[in-house]
Amino acid sequence: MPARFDIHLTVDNLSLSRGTQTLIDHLSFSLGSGDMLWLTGPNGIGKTTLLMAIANLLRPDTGSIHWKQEDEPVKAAQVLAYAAHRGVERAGLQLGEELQFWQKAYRDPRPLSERLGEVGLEGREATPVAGLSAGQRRRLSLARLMASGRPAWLMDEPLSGLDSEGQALVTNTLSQHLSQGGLAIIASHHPVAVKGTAAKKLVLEPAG
Amino acid sequence: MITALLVRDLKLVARGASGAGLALAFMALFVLLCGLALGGDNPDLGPGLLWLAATLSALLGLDRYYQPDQQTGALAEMHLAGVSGLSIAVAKCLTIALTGIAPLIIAAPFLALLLGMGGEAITGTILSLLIGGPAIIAYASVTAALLAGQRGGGVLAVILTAPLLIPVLIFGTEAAMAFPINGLAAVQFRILAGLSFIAMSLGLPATIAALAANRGA
Repeated sequence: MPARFDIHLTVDNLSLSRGTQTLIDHLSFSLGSGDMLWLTGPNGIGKTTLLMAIANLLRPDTGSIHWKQEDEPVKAAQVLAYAAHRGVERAGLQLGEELQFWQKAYRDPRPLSERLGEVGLEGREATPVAGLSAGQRRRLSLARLMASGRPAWLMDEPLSGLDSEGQALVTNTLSQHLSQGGLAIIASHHPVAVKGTAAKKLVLEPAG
Repeated sequence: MITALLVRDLKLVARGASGAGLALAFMALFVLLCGLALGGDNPDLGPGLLWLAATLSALLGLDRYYQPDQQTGALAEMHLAGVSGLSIAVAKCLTIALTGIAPLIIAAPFLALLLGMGGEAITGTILSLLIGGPAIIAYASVTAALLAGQRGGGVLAVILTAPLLIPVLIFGTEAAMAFPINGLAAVQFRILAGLSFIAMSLGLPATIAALAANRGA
């Protein structure tokens, strides 16, 4: 399959803290097209904080994060899509309305029914978001990532609440994304077994 | 994109439905209580009371505009999706106008009858509310955006916005009272329109800046 994306991330000497507590101390790494980084470590160690900093939703104490697309420097907001652990969906909307809004925001050319079908939610357009199960919400998040058409995916606990079929859906979708030259950073307690590429593993541990 | 944002907001308001109805009930109650406390017909106080009631009611429930989208992370995701702060601010201002202010203005003539106001005074009050409305909307939007990152903050919203709204309240009432004499040509209407322009031109950038600050950027 021809590569669809050419993307590169460089994290240089990054330090992050929450209040007075230092979470990430001088972290450097780089990722390119087809790479997946599996971020793991105990609760509260700073996995989500790191994801947010990479998405430029949080200002780092020191260090820098650079994105490059086709060797041109780009802003984080132009190349990534972020699936937070708690989804952004609003309880008052219907599933179809919710996803369609994000399709418009990301200018997704594919029809809504196709996107829902891809994540196993076909025919659920009129289901209220408030009535979705945790697993269905994760599927919705996945559909949002796919609709984004962005080369870099940041996912926070993408497997939680999913049945085995849903977990297979996530890993297959990720494998396909990576094979197209995409990049993924995944914070998870469980390994995400993607095909065709070896995930890089970053374990966050308490200092000392 | 503004249309998509607005449609989404209107659907959420229509289904949530708590805030808008509450503001309307508050305004009716406020006017009713004023009528009782002041005793009998006070048509001269009418425009002032209606302006006060509309302003205070508009400041109720400001936490329903930006706060839920801030807390679910939808605002951050919109930023990542390339939706501009201006689109978000304009769409929210339109939502505030349609669901927060318009019902109050529609209810105003009926409440005016309770206060025993005459036809011209009612027309003047409605026109002044329409012309001063953008100022209320703009300041409401800034305050709502500033408080989006906080929990609660309803009373704080009123305290923060009230000083900004004082000139609007003064000239809104003055314009309503001048209408039976000078009509729309009254200088107070021009001042009120000017206040609305100032509020909009300050309010939109301030809202955008507040949203960026909430994002941590």
